[in-house]
Amino acid sequence: MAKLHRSEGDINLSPLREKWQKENLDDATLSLLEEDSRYFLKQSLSTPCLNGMKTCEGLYIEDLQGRRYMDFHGNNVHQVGFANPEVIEAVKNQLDELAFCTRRYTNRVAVDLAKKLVQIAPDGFDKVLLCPGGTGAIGMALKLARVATGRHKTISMWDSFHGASLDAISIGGEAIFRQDMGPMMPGTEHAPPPDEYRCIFGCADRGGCDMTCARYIEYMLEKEGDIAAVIAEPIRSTPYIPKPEYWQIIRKACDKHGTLLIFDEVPHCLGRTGKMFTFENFNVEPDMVVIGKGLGGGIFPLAALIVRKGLDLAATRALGHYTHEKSPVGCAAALATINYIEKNKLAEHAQNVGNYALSQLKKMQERHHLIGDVRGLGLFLGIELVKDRVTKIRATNEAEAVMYAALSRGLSFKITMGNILTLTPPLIITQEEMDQALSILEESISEIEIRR
Amino acid sequence: MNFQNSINLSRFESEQGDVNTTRNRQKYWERNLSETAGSICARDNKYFLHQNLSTPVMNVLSKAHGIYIEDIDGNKYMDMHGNGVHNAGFNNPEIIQAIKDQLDTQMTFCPRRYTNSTAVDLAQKLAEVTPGDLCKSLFCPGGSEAIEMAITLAKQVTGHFKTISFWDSFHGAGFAAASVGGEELFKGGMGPMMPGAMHVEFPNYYRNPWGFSNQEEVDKEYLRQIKTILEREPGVAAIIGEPISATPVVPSKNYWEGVKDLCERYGALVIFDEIIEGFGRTGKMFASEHFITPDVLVLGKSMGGGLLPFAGIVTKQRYDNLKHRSIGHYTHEKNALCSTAALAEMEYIQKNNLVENAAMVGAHAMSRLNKLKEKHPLIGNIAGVGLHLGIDLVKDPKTKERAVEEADSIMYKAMERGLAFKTIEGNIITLRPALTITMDEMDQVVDILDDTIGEVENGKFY
Ligand SMILES: Cc1ncc(COP(=O)(O)O)c(C=O)c1O
Ligand SMILES: Cc1ncc(COP(=O)(O)O)c(C=O)c1O
Repeated sequence: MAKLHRSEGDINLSPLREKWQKENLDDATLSLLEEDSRYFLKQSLSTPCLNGMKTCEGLYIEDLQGRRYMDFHGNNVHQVGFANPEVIEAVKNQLDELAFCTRRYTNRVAVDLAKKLVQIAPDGFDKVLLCPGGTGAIGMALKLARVATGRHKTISMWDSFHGASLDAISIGGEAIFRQDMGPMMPGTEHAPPPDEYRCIFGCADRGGCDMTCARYIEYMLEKEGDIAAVIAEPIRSTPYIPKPEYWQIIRKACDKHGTLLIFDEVPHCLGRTGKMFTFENFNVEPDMVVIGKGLGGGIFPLAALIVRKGLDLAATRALGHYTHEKSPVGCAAALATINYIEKNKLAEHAQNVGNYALSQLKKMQERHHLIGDVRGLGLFLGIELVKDRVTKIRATNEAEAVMYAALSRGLSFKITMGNILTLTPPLIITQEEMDQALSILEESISEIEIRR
Repeated sequence: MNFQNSINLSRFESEQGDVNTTRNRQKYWERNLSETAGSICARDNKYFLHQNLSTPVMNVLSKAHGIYIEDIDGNKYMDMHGNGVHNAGFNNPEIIQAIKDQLDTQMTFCPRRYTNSTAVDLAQKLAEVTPGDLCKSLFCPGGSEAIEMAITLAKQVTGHFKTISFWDSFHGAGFAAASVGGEELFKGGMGPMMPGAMHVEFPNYYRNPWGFSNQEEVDKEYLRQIKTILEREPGVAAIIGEPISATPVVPSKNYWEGVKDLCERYGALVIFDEIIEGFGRTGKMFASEHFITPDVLVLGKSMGGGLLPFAGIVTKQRYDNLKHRSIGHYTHEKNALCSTAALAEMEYIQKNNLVENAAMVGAHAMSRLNKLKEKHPLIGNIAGVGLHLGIDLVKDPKTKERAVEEADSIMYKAMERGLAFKTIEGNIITLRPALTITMDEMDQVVDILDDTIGEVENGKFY
């Protein structure tokens, strides 16, 4: 069988998973999982599934056997918590009014949402286009960049994920999606992502990041001369947090070469990083930003492309010809979500709880040699497990073992790159709940360290 | 910043639908937009990116129910288009109730690592109702993404990367979907698209380049074109098409059997896009049933119950061998709320015999339209099956020159009389009402068409 890739998440074909399932799942759940495998196509990141869920509510998911897990992953749709009552109320009310709007027409809720998005975005962003999925919205951005610049090439990052469609996997940088697929979209070039901990340009040996990775993108822009757009997540899901200078250098280089800067904020928009938009942490502004996931309140599939003034250039085209372009129900869910985030100051809250958690994680790092690095911004946190702090060899098996140990204690999170535990709880999490999660995490890490 | 706008404006504008830049559209706005509607439209223009087929929009909707949409001033229109989501009718109360109940169970989303019983129920249901040995599903929010999953699956299982699809078809707005689509609107000015996407003509017995009138002769020529490509361009992963074109031309069973044979011979898969045609539209649960079972069936639109985005593919057991890949890595893969909508939609269709209704009302409409054709020289051809009907308007029955202005005028006139439909390729009126439509309502539709076509024939344009 082909090589298994661990770049995107914890994969489902591992002996540890089998063991966990054997120890924890009853017959009813096992039979649901069996049916799931019988009727769904197998996929390395979904079917065969880990477990069956009965409800998702607030911070928690609950399995069929009534076990509750704090969900520190949630596919990043749960800024306002799962099944948020205010979002549900808004959805129900809208269902009683207008449930769908054909594309030839508009409706009040859709217009209200567009206006709201323009208002929460920094000055200068003035137009919106909606569609159901983040992947589709990325495609709309790429197409608009082509129309606006008359060019087609892009620069994006290795290891990045932007969705599962051909254009998205072409700009994405993960073999699990790209292998055996024949030719990718033409002109999609890649650069190494910023990662001070494992810098491919070896900056650690020179006493820390000296922006070689940013200059390399500047170099690519100059050599090609006709790049339409640089497209990237302002923070990757690893989550390595670049210095503001990184994006500032790239922004300047883009301006110099007539290249647009597109930020993919699908997983961390709307408050997760302590700001409504992640880029606000870096003092730079892109030309376009794509948001999604939690935008639909964690219920309704919805994503948006928000662009700067001057980019409304495709009036005679159909970049975003998606059936659910102006879904009144989706827009009602999004408005309720944004209102909830604003009313409860969730961005600020995310910053506070996130800062607290990061400082606790730093202390935890001192106590556990397995932890090579901790980092994050707001409630977007990551713990890198290593076999050895000097060689930084990825502690892949250990990470997976920690994951299952935590799961057994009621904490669910995702692993990326094989050895990085990523923590992205809903923004409604309290400090006490965070403490609870952190102690589960620490117990689980201890357990694995001892077992070694 | 230096924007060079490279769009070439001289092109075939109305291939996909009535565009929003015409003179009649302007007139319609002047005559019909109330102050309230105008002010919402103005805000829509202000905040949304402008798009040929949406913003600037025609009007503002405030309600939709059954076969009707209703604008903000309370005018009702029988909607013969509905973007294809309304098989069970707009705002279907039973589907809405099912969704509300599901919202109350708090199973409204499911992280992808887990499953939930609603999503599994839906996959099982699809294995049961879809034709032949189709039995394995994968879901995503939109039809465009589902098309991509189908293409990706074909590339992975065949080891090939090229595709053959049809001119004038639409399969979605994403890059790969637009690449296999055959419309300029989604590709022109765009630069390079998906490598290896080749196109042929969809069978057309009314308008074919050879002037043949014998169906077998026509089929033979179209199949010969496909065979030529398969021979000269080895490495085709799939042939992708709607079983019936959007216009709608209904190919012969012989044609699709021929395509399937060729695919088997050259190692390509057959992918059917039933995003519009599935779930009863053509008088069968799936349009494939008129022809052949494809290797991959793509579903969407009405699958979301007419209100949630949901789509997916259903394929055969033997293609379930990509467990090391992630071809459908979409956030809402197993969204329990969307699955509820799909289950409720199918239940409603089956309980109310909407498939049979589509066949019956469709046959009735067809016979009435054929009578209209005898009366109106403007009508060149009537095509379709079930509630998937098309009226090809021509300036002259011999030359078959497309009556584009006439079609546009009829559309706006009908609009003002409470009938909404879409034109395709400029001159073809398409009728795709909710499958809940009654005989009487269908008669009203045909009457309005009769009147408006007659007026335009007599020189009374919009
Ligand atoms: C950074 C990023 N971009 C795009 C996407 C695609 O979004 P969707 O699954 O809604 O298509 C994701 C989803 O995981 C993502 O994390
Ligand atoms: C035949 C066909 N395929 C695919 C699509 C794309 O579906 P979606 O808009 O859900 O992406 C459409 C939508 O109009 C369609 O009509």
